[in-house]
Amino acid sequence: MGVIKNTIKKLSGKRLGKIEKIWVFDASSSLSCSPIADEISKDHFGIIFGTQDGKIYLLNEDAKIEWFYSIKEKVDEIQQMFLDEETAKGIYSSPTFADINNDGKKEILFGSDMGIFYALNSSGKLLWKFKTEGEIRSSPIFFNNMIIFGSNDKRLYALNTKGKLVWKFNANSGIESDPSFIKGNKSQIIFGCNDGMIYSLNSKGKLNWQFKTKGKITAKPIIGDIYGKKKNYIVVGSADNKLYVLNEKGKLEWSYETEGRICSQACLVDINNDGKLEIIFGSCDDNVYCLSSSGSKIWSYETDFWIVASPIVVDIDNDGRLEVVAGSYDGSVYVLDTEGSFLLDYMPGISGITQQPGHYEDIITRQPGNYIGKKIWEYKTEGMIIGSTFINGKKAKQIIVGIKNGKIDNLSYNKE
Amino acid sequence: MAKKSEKNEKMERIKLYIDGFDQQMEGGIPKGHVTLICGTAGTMKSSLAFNVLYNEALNGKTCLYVSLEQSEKSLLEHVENMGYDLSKINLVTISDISKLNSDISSIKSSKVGSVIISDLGSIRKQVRGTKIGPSGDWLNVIKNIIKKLKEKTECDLFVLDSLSALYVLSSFDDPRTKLFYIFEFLRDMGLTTFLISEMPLNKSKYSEYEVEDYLADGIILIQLTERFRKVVREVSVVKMRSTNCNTDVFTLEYRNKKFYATQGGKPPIV
Repeated sequence: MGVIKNTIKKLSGKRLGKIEKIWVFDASSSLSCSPIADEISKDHFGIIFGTQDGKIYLLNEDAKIEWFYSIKEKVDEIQQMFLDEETAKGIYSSPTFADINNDGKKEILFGSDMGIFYALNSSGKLLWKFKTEGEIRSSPIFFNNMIIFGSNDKRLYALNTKGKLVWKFNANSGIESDPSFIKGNKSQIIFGCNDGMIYSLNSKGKLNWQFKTKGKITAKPIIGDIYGKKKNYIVVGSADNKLYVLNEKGKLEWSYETEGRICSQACLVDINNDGKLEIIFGSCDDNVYCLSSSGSKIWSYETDFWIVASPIVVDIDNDGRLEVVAGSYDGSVYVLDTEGSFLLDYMPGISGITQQPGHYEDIITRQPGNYIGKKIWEYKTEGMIIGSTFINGKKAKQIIVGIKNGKIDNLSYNKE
Repeated sequence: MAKKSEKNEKMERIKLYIDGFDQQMEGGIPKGHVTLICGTAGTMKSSLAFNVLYNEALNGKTCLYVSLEQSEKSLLEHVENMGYDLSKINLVTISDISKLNSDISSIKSSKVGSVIISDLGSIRKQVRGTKIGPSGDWLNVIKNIIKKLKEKTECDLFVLDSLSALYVLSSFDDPRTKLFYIFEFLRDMGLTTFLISEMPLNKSKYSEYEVEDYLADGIILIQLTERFRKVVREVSVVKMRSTNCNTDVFTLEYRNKKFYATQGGKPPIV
């Protein structure tokens, strides 16, 4: 019976298999940042995330807690009155794995809403901490032997591997966007600010250029050679609903306007093997968008609520084709076809004899339809999805999904 | 007079203690509701809110009045001038947040109802020079006072005077979201809450961000109206959820230590 069913599915062009849950982990506190997965040491994958009650968990691939670190900062009775005890210790910056001391193991770097930046070793022991004057909601990067992150005290900090300040850059507003970098002779550190400004600094913290958008920037700028001409471009979304593409000198190439804030990092990938990178991102207008490198929409897929988690592009079912995995605030993880599907806006065979709306000229010149996002699978979780990450594990390809209610779901493709 | 529905008859209500007005709204405001008291300067918003707390304290309740602008001394002088006998209630002032626990024990040991006045102006002077940290917020001070009082006493009513002052003290970058969580917090605490909202002189809106109007369960409007060189105060219910109320405009008067609503919105006969 199963064979017949599969044959019918194959003939109808439907993808076989399904997405199913491997395990779920409950952190017993709201999740406040996207989980991150990485290979901590050889063949040793770890999943790390922070919670609103000030804990960092490291899980292994089987959902076992390897360790957790609990933020303990002393405050007096008066200071305590100024804090929201449920969220004061919240960790809103996704931790970063980086081997900062060249011991072959990756350290864990993150900041908290108490304004403290922490470096833990791979066993979860505190190496050092660094105090800023604002909440730290920007995830750090490790670049040129420096740890670089932003704070809501309006400064971008660069620390050495011992936690000492190398330089700091004063912006005009708080910094919640994660920085990115362009490597090369003229290295650049690029980040966005709460007032909508995008800055580019050199590796010594001096301003190269700045570009103003009209909304808060929480998304991490992503760098890529989108035209395939060996030149880097910066792609970043803003709360003014637009996705911006800038060249290395900070000049606008193009922008694309959605109907909602763009809160998370876009994903750059060549989905059609044309040597150019397509741009896939989510918006608070509930849609996942796929744009061409020139900024025209290839397809969009509408979910039932905002998309604040960055989409992932991966071949989840090992069929040689890429899929887009996007989590939505509506609680579902959507696996979409990267190419979308073409939808005719008339009924073939009937169009010639039925009245078509619009002007005659429009009817003969316009496209006979448009591409829309094509859902392959959907998996319903228990709450709003705030972030997701991917592990190309030993056993299977795994999608790790962070849910606002404190659950971490591990999803995988099952061909049965 | 507004008729009570069968379902609403069972609902516990808090009187506004305005003679002739409570009867127009099924006896008062549903317990646990968040109500805006809106008006321009000089409309007796604060006095009306204090009037509710004072009368509820006479009935043995514990009530909190958070004043963000007017000092405790000025507020008490004002209400004593109006004729309120403060010796009949347990009056507690919080001007040192580090002594909150001892203030709470005096409330617990009192045999009469309490009005707790928290004067944030004095607290600001007390904490001057204290580093409150990046996530420190004056809104949290108010929330933590409420939480502590709610945990350890039977605090039932809360007045915040005023929302406009709160907007200056705390950052409202995303007012819609922040106000949503404030209203949710107050409802979760089970407090019957009065938020005093200062209207602009042109009366163009009830509240600063206007979202408060939608979030609140009720809006009581007090206005100053000029009639033949005389200025009269008028009170009306703009909205009141779960209440069958008369939305006519009433003249608001304070005489013989009591508020009265009269005339049913009709202009005086010349």
